[in-house]
Amino acid sequence: MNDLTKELVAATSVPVVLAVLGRGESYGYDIIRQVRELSGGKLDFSEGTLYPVLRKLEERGLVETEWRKAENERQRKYYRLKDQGRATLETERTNWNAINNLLQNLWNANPALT
Amino acid sequence: MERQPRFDLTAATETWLDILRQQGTFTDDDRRELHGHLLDAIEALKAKDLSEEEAFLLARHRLGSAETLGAEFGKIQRPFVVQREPVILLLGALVFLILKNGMQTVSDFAAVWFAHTWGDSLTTSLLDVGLCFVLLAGLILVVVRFMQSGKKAQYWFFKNLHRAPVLVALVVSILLGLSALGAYSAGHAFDELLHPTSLHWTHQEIWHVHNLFWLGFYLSWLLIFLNVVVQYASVGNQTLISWLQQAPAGWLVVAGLCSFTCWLGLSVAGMRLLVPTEGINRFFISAALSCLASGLVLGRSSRYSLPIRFLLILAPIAAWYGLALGENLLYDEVPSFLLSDFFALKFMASAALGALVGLGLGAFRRQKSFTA
Repeated sequence: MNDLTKELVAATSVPVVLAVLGRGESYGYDIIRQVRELSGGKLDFSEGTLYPVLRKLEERGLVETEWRKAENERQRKYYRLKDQGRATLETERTNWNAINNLLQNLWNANPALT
Repeated sequence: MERQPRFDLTAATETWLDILRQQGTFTDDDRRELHGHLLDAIEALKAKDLSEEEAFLLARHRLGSAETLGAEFGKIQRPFVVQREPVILLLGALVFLILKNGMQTVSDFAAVWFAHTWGDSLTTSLLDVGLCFVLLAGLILVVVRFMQSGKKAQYWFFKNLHRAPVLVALVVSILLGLSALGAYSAGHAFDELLHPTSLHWTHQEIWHVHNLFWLGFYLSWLLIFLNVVVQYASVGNQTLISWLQQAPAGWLVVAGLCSFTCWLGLSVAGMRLLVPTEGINRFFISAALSCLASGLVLGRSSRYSLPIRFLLILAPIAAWYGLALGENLLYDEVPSFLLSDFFALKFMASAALGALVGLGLGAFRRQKSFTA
């Protein structure tokens, strides 16, 4: 498979990050790891992509953050979905499903019967 | 056999964080988070049997360069607090003005007081010069010390600016206003002291030397500025002197010319005060002292061989002689003093002597620092 284009990665970043956080609170390094594993290595967010997206979500009031000591005694910044974030995740899911359906229909379309 | 220095993870991450800090687009929170990210990545790589150093290098590489990260983080819309650079630039300009006014107030009022107490005498001039030197040395020491502990001062300033912006602006304005008022009155008092109609002053050199002090003041700021530029460009690893020790030959000649000009200014001041009749000797003294200083710096350099360093020290002196002679023959009286009385020979011989002594002392200091 070809590498995903920069534009596609950028377009998917918000729904993907929201979806990862929808599975439970997480921190930057772990979000990148989860995305890499769940996509079978096809989608690899760079740190320069992820953290600005997280800042944007925080600014829009979709996630809340908390600096907390992790099990290895290091401070980590955890991100958690807020109610508004869950609502946005639902909207994103509906929109992306619609796009997905559209593309499926276009690619698997039957030849014209006339 | 030389032992490989042990890798220090804390120092390496600190340097990396410094690079991010200098990049300017990251907030403290960003850097803290990226620091944690880097440590997580290092831990994961170490679990795959990589050494600490390899893990650090690979993790840093994966995070991307400070420029790339900075460009991405720079796209985030932030509140104005993060835009520190313009504030720092303006603050620097204001501090410069306040210090300049402050120094003018002290030096001019002191000169007037010396003149009233010791009258029209050499003592007055010497005391004035002495005070000017102490003020200049104090300025350089204080500013350099401030640069070294700049992070704390910067943190303190921005904390207070954030808490009470009006109060900070008010304090700075009052300081600027008071210092300007002080400088104005002091300058006025000093001008009156030497006004030709009010007083026929025999020791007129105080006027010249006092003005040379201001030349020194601006040169000191230039030196401080160059030092900051070198530190900034080398991520805080180099000082002006350590950069010069490895600098390309062209820059060394330029630096040598600047240094010679400064020494010439100093010797003009010194000789006007002490032996006003022996004018020509100041060139030989300046050449010797300038080459001595260059030798002290280059004695510790390992980029060029000793004969090359010797020639590099003499090159600016020869260049200055060529320029001065050209200018003298074109615009001034002929024959020039630069051609008579073995001037060139004495000039270059003093330079060579200064260079040899400087290189010797510099090499000795280097040896000592190696054995220490």
